Amino acid sequence: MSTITDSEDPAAIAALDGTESFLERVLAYPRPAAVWTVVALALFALEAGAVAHFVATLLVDLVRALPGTYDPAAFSRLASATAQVPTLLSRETIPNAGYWNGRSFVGTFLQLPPHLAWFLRVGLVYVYSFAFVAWIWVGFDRYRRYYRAADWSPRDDVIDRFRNHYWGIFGLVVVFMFVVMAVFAPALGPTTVEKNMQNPYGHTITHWDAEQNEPTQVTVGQANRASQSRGTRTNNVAPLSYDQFGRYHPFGTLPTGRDLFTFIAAGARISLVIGLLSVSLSIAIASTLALLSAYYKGAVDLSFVLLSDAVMALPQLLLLIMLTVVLSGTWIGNLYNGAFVLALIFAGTGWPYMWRSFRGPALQVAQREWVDAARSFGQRPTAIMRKHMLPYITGYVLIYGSMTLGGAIIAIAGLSYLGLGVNPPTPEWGRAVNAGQPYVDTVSWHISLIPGVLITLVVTGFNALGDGVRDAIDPESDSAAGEAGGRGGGA
Amino acid sequence: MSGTGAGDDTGSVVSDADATVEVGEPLVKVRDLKKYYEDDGFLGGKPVKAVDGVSFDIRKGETLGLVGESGCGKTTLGRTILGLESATGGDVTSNGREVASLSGRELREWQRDAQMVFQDPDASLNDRMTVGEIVREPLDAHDWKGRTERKERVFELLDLVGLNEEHYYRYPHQFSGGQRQRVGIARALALEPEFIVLDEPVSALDVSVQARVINLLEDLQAELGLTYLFIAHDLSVVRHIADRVAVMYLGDIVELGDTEAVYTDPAHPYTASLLSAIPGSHTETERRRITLRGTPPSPRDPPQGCRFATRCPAKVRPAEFDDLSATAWERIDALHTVLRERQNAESGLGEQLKRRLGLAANASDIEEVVDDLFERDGGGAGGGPGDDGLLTDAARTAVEDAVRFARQGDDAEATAVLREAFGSVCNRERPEDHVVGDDGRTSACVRHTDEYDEPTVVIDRRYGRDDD
Repeated sequence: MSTITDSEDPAAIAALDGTESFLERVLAYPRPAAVWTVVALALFALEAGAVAHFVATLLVDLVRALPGTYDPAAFSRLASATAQVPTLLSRETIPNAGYWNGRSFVGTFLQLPPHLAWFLRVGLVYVYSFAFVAWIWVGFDRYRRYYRAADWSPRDDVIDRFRNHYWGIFGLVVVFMFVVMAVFAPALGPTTVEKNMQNPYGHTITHWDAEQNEPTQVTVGQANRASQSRGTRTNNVAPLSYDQFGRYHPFGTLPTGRDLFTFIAAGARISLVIGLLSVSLSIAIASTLALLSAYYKGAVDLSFVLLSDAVMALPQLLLLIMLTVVLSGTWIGNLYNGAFVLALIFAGTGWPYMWRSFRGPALQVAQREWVDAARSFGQRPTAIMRKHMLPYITGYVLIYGSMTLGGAIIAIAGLSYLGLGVNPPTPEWGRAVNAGQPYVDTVSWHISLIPGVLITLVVTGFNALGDGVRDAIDPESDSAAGEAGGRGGGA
Repeated sequence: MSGTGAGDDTGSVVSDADATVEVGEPLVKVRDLKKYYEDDGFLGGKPVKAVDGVSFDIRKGETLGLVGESGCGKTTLGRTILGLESATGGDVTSNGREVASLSGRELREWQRDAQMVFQDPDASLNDRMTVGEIVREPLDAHDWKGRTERKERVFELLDLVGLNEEHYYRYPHQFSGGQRQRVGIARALALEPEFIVLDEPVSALDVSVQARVINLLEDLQAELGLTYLFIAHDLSVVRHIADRVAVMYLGDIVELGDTEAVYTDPAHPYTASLLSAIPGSHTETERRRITLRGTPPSPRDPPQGCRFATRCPAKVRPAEFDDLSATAWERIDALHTVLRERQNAESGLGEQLKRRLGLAANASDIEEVVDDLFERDGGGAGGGPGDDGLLTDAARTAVEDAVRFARQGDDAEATAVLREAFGSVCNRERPEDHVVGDDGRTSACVRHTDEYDEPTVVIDRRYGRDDD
């Protein structure tokens, strides 16, 4: 239990009597903290340019989204300036462009074939991401070991239990890989959404024309038309293959000739943003109402029951269709290609289910004596709810949040499969499944199958993570929250 | 060390009433306090009368013990005094403040002046917070001074209750029950209260630890001039720590007086019975052990008249049944209890409907009970209670009447018959407090009036050795 007093710990730490603040403890033995900080900064520096660029573009988008006539020029300059900062994991550092001129590769990265360059880039992105997380874990471990005044906390047990929960760790890894895919989407794709989908005729590529025996320029749009996957032997670009323009397609192409991997990576971002936004909004509403319900009970509780019943009685799909039609073209309907409205609708209709799940545990914890004790010395209700009740429903929040996120991803995919939801041509997994539907039993099976399998895998990952968190938080409630996993379909 | 610590409250006006109470004067006055829990049920129903018209004073600097069986309303009384439960009636005043109607600054002041230590230290400490955070929380809640002062104060408090400074960053999980209760006590002391309600503070602890916590509480009282309301069901603990003791039965205080006087010479029949339940106690009082029969009646429907009448060993009996034996009375009381319980039993809708329609609900039960109690020979449905000389003719007639009603499912009428026949002043009037002894002790029993013999005399006569 006690790591502070381990004999291997330096005397400086052993000499502390356990009453110092965090800062005092760091100053008493600064080496682990210093080493950690230096390595963390070095890791961050590799990607600092990308982060700065991301923040700058976010600012530009924000200024544009605001109803007003502010000039985003200043921010646009900032954005283009930050784009120039070299980062290790950008497509500029390790490009997968270039062609084979019959004898050697021209313009490729280190004379490597483009697919190897692409694999190298993807590998580096994932190595970097895992290293980053591992380093954060090292930091936490050092904090726990050297700097935390408490030598044990209940959260340590939770973490220990999770570390032995292999199904949960599987979920965590899947979810993490999905998140990395979403975060690094522009760097991961063999090409970009802008070049390949949004403005294909505004960009050109150079390829080796074997007949004329010389490099030829062609627009991406033309190249796409010639590399469609339409279910016949002659008209198909399979996964892990090059098209006739020397472009590498890890997941093959769509029926339109667009690159499926780029499409999926960008779609992951949309799914994650909608999922996170809707689930966190739902959680915020649901947990607040659950705490109020449990603390005040009676009329407050009853009114929330009625409200949630009313919301649950709304037909979600009809509401979605109606609102997407009504709001299309308005500024809010165009925010993030319609994803923002989707997230709002999911949150607005999804919170009652969560509220119902949180209400029970919240009612239970409100009965605990420490809540009474806090009331007896005049603690404010908000503080009681925050300090004495919320920590006890956080576990449920994580579990249901994780599982609902999986559900939201299915729902978004389902909607775009039906032709609703995110505005085309913004990539969305469900639309890929839909596009490939006529070709499932042909050589172009990859169009539907790959995104379909990925959806299943990611949703399973989120559910597994939820299971793991639940078992870690409360080892006795093996199936207490099990019914949450079933909900998901949404649309 | 009295009161709220006037200097701590930066800038705010301190109540004039503060610290004017001298040691020995009433610090908290409770007058006719009532706390009923209304039933939310569909069919309405009667409220649970957890505390039903209680009056007493808690004097500054004393420890008032509050004893009684589980469920008699001790804890509710303590919580209502603190304002944790809103009183149904009556009032609690302290330093001229009416606790129930406090709000704003005065309420905050009362919340600083009066604290509570809870029974179960496992349940009353939030185990996701460190001990330091737990003890500091009252200070945070009342914006007491600055950050560093609060931390210093917590160290001081931990030291005061016998814990170390390094326990600041530990979690409750890492402590034994006794240490956890010390944390609970430190938290209660944080705001320098003058009055603390101790709700069975040691009953969840090992016996070996109990004494140390009790000693700590006594030391703290001497050092800080605290006033305690010590709630317990362990009579020997109360005898050890309390200056005065209040005995509670079914929402009512039946006897209140100096601890030693109450323990050596209980005035109320309930106190006598309760004390006689302490192992080894009857040798001290040279009295036979009085067994308390059954369990207390439901507080949802307490007996009319004296609350304790259904189990009282000294109940006033009507003159015409003077010649009934002790055994006979025991049996009759038992039948009465059974009928009362049947009457008040939570019954389903079907059962209620049957009863309304006059269909015998569970007549066979009552037959068995009567058979058991009066050893009736199975002489058919009309057979009366046995003729073994247990009951006199008049008594038997009354019992038979009651049984007849009960057989028809009319338990209310059956109970009424029994009450009419065997009842007395105890079943009709709620006894008033009578001053007994010369130290201001009060006891609520009609037998303290000149009309009747003193309870102890009656108990000795009925249960004493000569009656053996």
